Amino acid sequence: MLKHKRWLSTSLTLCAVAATWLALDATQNRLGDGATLTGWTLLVSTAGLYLLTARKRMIARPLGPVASWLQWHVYLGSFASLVFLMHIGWPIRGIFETSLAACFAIVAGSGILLGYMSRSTPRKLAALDRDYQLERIPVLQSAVANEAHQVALGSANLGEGATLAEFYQRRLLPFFRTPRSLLYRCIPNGVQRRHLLRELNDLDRYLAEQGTARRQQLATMVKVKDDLDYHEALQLRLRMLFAFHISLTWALALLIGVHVVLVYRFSGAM
Amino acid sequence: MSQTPAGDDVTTPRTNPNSRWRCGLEPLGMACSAGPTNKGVCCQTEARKSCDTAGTETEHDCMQTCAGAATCEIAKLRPESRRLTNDSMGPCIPTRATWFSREVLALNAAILVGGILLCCMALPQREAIFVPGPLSKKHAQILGNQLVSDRCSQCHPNSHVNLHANTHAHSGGEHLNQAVTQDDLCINCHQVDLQDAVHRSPHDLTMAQLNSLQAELISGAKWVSSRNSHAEHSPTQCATCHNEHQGSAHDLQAITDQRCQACHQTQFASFGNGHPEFENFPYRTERRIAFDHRAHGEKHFAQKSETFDCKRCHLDPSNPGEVGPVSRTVGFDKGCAQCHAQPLEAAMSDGWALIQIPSIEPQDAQRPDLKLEAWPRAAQFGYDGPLTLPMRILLTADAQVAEAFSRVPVSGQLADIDPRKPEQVAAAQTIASGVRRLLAEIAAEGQAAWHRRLTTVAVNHLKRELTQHEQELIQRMTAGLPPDLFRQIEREWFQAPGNLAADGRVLSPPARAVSYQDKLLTDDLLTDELLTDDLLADDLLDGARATPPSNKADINQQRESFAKLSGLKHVLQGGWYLDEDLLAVRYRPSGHADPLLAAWTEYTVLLGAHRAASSAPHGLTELRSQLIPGGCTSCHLVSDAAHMPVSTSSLSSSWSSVQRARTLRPFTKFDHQPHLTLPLIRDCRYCHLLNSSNKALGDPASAADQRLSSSVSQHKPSPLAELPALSLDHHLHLEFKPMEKSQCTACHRPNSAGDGCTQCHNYHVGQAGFEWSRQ
Repeated sequence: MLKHKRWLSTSLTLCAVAATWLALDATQNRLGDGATLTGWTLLVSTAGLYLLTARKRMIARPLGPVASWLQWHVYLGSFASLVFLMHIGWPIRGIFETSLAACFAIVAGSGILLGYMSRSTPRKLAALDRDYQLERIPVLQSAVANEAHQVALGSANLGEGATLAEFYQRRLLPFFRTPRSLLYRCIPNGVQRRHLLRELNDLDRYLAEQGTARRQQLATMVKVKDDLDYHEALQLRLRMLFAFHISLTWALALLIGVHVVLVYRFSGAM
Repeated sequence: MSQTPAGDDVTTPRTNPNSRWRCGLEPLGMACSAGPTNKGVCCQTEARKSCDTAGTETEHDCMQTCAGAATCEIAKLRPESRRLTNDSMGPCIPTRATWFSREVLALNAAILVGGILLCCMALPQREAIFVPGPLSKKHAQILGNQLVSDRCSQCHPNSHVNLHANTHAHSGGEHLNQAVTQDDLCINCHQVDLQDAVHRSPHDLTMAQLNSLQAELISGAKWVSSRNSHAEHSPTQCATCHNEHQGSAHDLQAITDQRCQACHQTQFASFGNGHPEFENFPYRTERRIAFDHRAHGEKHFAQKSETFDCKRCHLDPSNPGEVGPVSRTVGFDKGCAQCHAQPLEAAMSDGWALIQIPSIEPQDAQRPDLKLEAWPRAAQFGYDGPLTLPMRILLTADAQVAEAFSRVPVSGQLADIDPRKPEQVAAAQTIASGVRRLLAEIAAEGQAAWHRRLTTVAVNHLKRELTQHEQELIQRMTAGLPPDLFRQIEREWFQAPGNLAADGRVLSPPARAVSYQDKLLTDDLLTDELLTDDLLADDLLDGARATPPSNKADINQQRESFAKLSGLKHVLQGGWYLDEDLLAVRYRPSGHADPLLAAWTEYTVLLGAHRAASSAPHGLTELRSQLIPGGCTSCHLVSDAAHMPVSTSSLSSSWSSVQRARTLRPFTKFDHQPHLTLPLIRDCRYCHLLNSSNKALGDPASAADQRLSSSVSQHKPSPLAELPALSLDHHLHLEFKPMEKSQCTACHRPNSAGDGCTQCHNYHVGQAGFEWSRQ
């Protein structure tokens, strides 16, 4: 049912794009002003994109679920992006025109990427054992780090040597106490997790029975910490992209307004 | 996702999605339900502040109690420990809600962009920032010298209008925008080249011209038809096709084919696929020179064993290059004089008799009512002599004579008058009286009479005021006319003691008109005795001019020598003189392109073109035959007035055929130069093939005679010249085979030489010199 609905929406969007293209072609064939046609179409559709923000503010009114508005936002944004390509001339010239086009392209591009990631990220997070709220992850990371520290300290008193404690100090302490790299936050992966777990397993030959038990505890904590990091990276990436998408919306509205005024004023219509 | 409470724990406080701040304890899972205030202050801090203000010390908790807390099931489920924990932790440091952070970020970005825009607007170089792209090279060159602040306003009317003033104007009912439009500013600069662009109509044509053109194309089953009727149209804007700000390398004149096919409904894929075949291209333009290529190539040049090379006449020899520019022909001196100068000189040797006194019956000279008493005796041997065309034109200004011309024979020769027909005899007598008045009038008034008669005839026939060009034409016909010759005619041929006025009255001759020689010839003192007196034989006065004739024999000898004045001998460089044998006033042209002959030719064509088809058996025929053998119009196809605009001098331009007549084919354009660089088509005959079936043109009799004979057979008699038939052009156009489209499509393809519409077609046909659009 969802798939059918998605196909229907996509088809309707493509039909709207095709209708706009035909109207543009007909206008140009009659020596009409195609830029005005696509410009106003783009302006109206862009204004429609701002309705999602307004809907989010009106939580108490029966205006339908935000999810439906979000779907409308996605398809209208796709339509506006294609109309934008019809509207601009190529290559784009002029400092102001280039800035406006770049701003629109950034917003549209981040929106398209956001649409993709908002679908792929939940699937990745759902593959993990637990869900974590982004705001609580730092506390949980701290708790796991403290617990791992206690386990490492305890291993030093077992009389089986300082192998596990040394390994903790050398390899696990940075992992538990320092934030992950920027590369990991952009492209979260399990490389470090696998390396640490393999190295922990390799310590078994130097450990006795109690030491092995504590090594397994540390391994479990490494997994938990990595899951927390993975959660944090994916959620933060999505949130940052969303913030990036939102950050230029009002600047874009301002640039569009100036553009419309300039066009009509310099054409003698204002 | 982060907004979602962990699990389905309804006891966990839910934050308001619209609240800007979040509890600082939320990451620890201990957020209170009240949450921070809108200013980002913890609720505990705010509550304690209010209590401190009230002066009471009461233990507070941050749990917000709702009105239905007593009955609320969810409130009952909340563990008491959470409240205690919150209280024990003390006030939190609230954090911004995610959505609020995004809003702040977006607002800051907008403020930043707005600030940048304001700064840009305040900069002197703001035009460089807001301009949508560089200007094209030519416009950039023009505007490069303007101040930066003035550049935009050169093309955009409202670019620098004060907003306040604009608003005020609108409130007052005025619209600044309607005063000057962007197209007005375009036309202000381009009106020199595009005079009719002000119409803002398709092809710069008026509605009547468009409808006429469309009707002509449709009736002729031509290929062009319009998608939109021209009955109504919105003004065409320059920017519809010419898009500026596309960079310095952008060609503003580059128009896509789709632009053309917006109106031209009969669409086709390309020039090679679907474009209609040519129709008599490129020979539809009016020819100015009746040059028979076949006869010259196969006969005249062959007889002289010379190569008939097209470039000899169609490439300017002063241009050292091999490929252009191509002219319709070079001038007479370079192209024709080598063979035609000598025959032309011989033909002009006897000059042109503009006025010749006709012969009348002797009894007519004796009738006092006709006032022909002084008619020369040499012209009293019966009705005879031609009525020259100029004389007939001048006589037509006299209403009586003009009526009499309709009663003379068709040939116009007085010799053909039948004495048994009284009306023809009366007409001859009236004409003779008219000739007498004409001569007397010119003798008395000089060039003024000549000018007045020509003006009267032109106004009567054209039935309108004369244009400046036509007035100048008559001035050229009058300039140089010597009144002394006509006074000499009065004295010597008519033996008149004085001149006659136009109404027949005898006027006293001017005293200075009587010459010393005439006194000697008529003085009674010159008797035989005196002539034989030895005193007069003495050489008292030295010098040939002052020496009177010594005797009657010398005087007679001198008089005899004067009578034998010859145009070839005495008027070698051209001018007026008297032919005493035929009693005619002759003009000997100064050579090719004589201005007087050209003016008379133009004048004759002007009258003939405007006449109704009611007259003139052989107007132009006479002009040619009486002027010089094979006169001006045997080679020059002077345009008729039907193709001549009222206010211009295109008739005068008919003599010039050096330049290609771009204006005669306003919708198409062609440049020979790039074509002649290609070895394959460097030979002109690749495109211009002589028509093998055109035998008539190869005949020396030529098509000019065909035209003249058809003119004679189709028109009724008239005293004036008749319209020169243009059928000659038609015949001459058949001289060459029309070009075929395949000759062009060999190269003009999309990936070769190009096949765009504007490569061969013009849009703006109202260019300077194109007179058709002014009709």
